[in-house]
Amino acid sequence: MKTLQIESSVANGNSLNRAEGSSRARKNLHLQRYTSMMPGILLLLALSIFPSIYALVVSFQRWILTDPKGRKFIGFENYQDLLGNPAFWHSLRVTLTFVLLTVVIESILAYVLALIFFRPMPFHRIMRTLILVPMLTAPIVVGMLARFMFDSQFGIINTFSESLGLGRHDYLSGLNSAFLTIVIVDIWQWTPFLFLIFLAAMQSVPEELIEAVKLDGASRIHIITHIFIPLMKYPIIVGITLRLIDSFRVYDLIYATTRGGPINLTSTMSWSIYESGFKILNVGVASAYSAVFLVTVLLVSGVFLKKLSKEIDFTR
Amino acid sequence: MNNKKLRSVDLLRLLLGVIATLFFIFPVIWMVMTGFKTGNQAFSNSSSFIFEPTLDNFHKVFFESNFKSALFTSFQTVSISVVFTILLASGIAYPMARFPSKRMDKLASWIISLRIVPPIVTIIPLFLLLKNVKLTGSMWSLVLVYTFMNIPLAVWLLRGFFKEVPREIEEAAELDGLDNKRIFFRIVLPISAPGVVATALLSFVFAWNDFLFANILSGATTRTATVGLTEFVTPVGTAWTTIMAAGTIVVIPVWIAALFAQKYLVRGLTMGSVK
Repeated sequence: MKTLQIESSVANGNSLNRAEGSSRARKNLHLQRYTSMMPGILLLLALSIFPSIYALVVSFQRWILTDPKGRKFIGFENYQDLLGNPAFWHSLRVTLTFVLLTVVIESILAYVLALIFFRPMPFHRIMRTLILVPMLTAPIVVGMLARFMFDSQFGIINTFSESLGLGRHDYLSGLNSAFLTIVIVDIWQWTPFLFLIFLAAMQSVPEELIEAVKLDGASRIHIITHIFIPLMKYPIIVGITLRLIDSFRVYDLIYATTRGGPINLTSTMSWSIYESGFKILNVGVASAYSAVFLVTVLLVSGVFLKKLSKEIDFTR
Repeated sequence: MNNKKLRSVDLLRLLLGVIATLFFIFPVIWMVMTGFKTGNQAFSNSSSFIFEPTLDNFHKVFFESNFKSALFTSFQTVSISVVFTILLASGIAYPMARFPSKRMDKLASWIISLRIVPPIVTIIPLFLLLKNVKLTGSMWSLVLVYTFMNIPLAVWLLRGFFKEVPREIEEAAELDGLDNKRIFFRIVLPISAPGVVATALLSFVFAWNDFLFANILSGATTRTATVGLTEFVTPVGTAWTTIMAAGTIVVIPVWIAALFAQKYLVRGLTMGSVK
């Protein structure tokens, strides 16, 4: 133990000269520093690498849980089946549309909201806190609440739309409205998330800088485009990347409301994988689907992740 | 003139702010209100704001269903997983904060990259593997998965908090002859306690709100609260007022946790990358 401190003080650039001891002992001590990391890292490895390899193997097998014939290697057949199935391409389109629509609209709304709340006003704090509530509500609860509020008979949204002269609609099962309704609910729940991040980022822009530019006669728009957006680049990228990753996951909301319907108009990739894996119990196809899904997520968020890894400052 | 114009801008901001607040809070208020209504009040006139509140639904939730045990399961599972998360994650985060190196940075990026994988991708092989060892339906499979799910977030947050502990204090302790373990438990941990608590609260929230893993991994006796909520929807009918009461109960612990961790919310939700 005594030598351990010596080792670390040397590493810390402590000028005290104590570089004694055999190199083997030193190596041991070096390892000792990291022993506390082992359990956590082993758990992460056990639950990420191992299942990934397992899933990859299963994706090359015909394996339906209810089929007594069991498992058999079939090469790329699952992948061929999947990519040859129009339902897959439909799900891909639904997913990408969903992700794009939600993330873009949420970012814009959140930015505008952050601008509104940037400077203090009456009830500032309480309003800001209340806006955060949707984000803190479990997605499955939000889903149930949406189903209740959008109900065609007694839902309050229909009461509103009727009194506005828009008539009653079966929002969650209408062919034209189901997908958009899901998008709106997602926007309701997650705009506050980006709002919180954008607001925090805006408030970290130095006040003096804004004042100085104002004195120089810069317009409001100018301040936004030349000061806020460049200085907020990093938080904006972080926020959007996280939303992008999470938007692909949408499952709870669909489980509680449309279950992929009507027909398959809200059947996102997450939902399709769930159906093929846990309803049809075809785990072979579900595994192949998962692999394709993961690649899709990586491709789409990859652009942002690359930017992020360039900007990330590990010394923070 | 200028002054007057400015004031009208502020008025517009206030107006927009109020509208936005109402938009985001109204559905939640509606849920809580419906939880206190009778079936008739909720359905006969769907926009009734003034009504005589009743505790019937809450009574049903606690005494005429299995929801109470689902709440208990959730508390138990999530709390145990949070303890594991904090223990394992600080084990990783402390050396990372203390002995930074290129290799550590690589490890940190690998850990955060696990956050990208959608849960539905993880759950299929995990379900098959856990089924093989007969762990599906057991509380421990959920503890395991929640711990795994929260470690990346916790490592990144804790690393940030541990780095904020002044180096000089640690070095002084070292000169006093304390080993790494003691330095961590006696000095670093107490100093960064608020951050550690915030990390624990956020881990609690994420695990508590989970539905996907719980829906697939929990058995008949280990239903969590989020799964229990969906079980009020039966083929016979949907007890909406009861569901809204149960939903309110599910959400309250999260709101309380968030209130305590408010200061660290931005940091927590962005894995420490935005302060």
